[in-house]
Amino acid sequence: MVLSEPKIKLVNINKTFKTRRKTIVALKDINIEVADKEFVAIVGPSGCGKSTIIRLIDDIIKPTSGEIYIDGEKYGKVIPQSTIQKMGFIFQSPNLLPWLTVRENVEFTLRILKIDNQSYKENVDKLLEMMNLKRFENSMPSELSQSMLQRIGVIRAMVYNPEILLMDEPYGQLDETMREQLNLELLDIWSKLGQSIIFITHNVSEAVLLADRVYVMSTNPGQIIEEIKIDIPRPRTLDIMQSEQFVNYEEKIVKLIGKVDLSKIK
Amino acid sequence: MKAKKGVHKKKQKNILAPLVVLGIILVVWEASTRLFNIPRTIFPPISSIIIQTIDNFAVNIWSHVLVTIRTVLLGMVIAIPLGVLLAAVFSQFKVLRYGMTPIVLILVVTPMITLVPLFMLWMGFDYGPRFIVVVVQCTPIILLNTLTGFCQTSSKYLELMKGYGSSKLKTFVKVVFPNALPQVFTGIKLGCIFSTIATTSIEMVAGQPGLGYRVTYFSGQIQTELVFGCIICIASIGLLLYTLISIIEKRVVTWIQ
Repeated sequence: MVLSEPKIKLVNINKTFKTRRKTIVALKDINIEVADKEFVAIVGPSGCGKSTIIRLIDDIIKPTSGEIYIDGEKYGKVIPQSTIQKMGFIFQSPNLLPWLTVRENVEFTLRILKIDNQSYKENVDKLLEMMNLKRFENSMPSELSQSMLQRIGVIRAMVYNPEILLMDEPYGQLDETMREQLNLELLDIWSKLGQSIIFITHNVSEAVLLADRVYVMSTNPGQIIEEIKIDIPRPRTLDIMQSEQFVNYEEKIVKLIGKVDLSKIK
Repeated sequence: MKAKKGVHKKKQKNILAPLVVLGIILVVWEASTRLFNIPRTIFPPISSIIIQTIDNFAVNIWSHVLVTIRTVLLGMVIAIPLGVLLAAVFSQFKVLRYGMTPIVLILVVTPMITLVPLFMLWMGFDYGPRFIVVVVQCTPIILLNTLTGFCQTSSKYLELMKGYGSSKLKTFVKVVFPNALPQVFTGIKLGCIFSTIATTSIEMVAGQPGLGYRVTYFSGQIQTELVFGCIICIASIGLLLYTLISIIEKRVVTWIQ
């Protein structure tokens, strides 16, 4: 539970999808709060509605019922540009536009949001340099590896200094070693820039390593079964993953997820 | 440097290979027509086709080449933007898309030569309006391919734009249209192929001027070399147009290797 006015607040969110044959209750009574500069992870089995939650926050889809607040302002039918600019979304698979260069892809956001002024353009250089990708700025996406594309996706989401990052299993398609490296890179960037982050993952270790709090979800319908505060001090390194405290958190979350009735997973 | 040499060698191979195959076909053609004494009125040797066509080109063929090119180009200049525009409209309205696609499909599969007599009834036999047949033949082909491109935009690109609060128009201009360019060019290239078919069909039925008419005329005169010569001219027009579009495509659609 967040004590001061939360940065992000979801109140009694329900989401139903209607197909030709049936109605699917994807989310039921979801209540989530994220404080300013807080790193929150959401874990759960596949199909529990984790991605649906951040798509609701990013206004890609609308809830069936319930309310969403950003900085205390409730979402209406159309959310204002000022709210859109507070959020950056990083997708599960890199969705760079193949006809644009790396730099053009990063600047694309600035052009769409009509904020392509000089200071943001300098941000492009700064972030590319921070991620050691400056020398690839004129490359096409087809010339780069998956991990590079995903990191460029992170830069694109951060270029206009959003206060909130919504990350949908951003490193899910990468191998273990690359994922660990990028997680540390993410922690480093977050420590410098201090956004509020919602990080979706099915990897329990990743959630415990990165987050201040972890929401654990069940499936069918997707519901929050527990909220766990991660009291591991920062900065966190990969060594911490061997500690007793870390392992205890992992086991607790795995047990909670393991209690989910597997017959409900379709 | 090595990579550039490799690309250059590949380009050389891509040009040489079809030329070599063409050369073999021409040699076999010439040799077999002479060896087996095939009557020139049925299947003349390639050498006499070339000689006869060159001899008659200025007086009997060139002006008809220009007419055919005019009809093809005028038809395509209208068909391309019309096909793309209609596809853009259809892509935004499901009812229109589902309602009109079967009708468009019927236009594509119906052989144009069967419709040409109707066009003659409606438009007369002047060569001026003949480009309309090209438009009717090629627009549906361009439309269907372009529409496929517009409707197959990846949901991850559409979600990206939705997350930015982007309007439908902005999403279409910035993402849907550029993403569909490979299919747009596929449609245009197919249109090029069918444009010469449509033009030749109407010229054969409606009469002079035009290369289609010349094919019928020389066939009636049993000047088979010139029939072949006109066919080669028609094919060359189609090939040139197709090649031009392919060159433009390579410059525009740079991200598909």
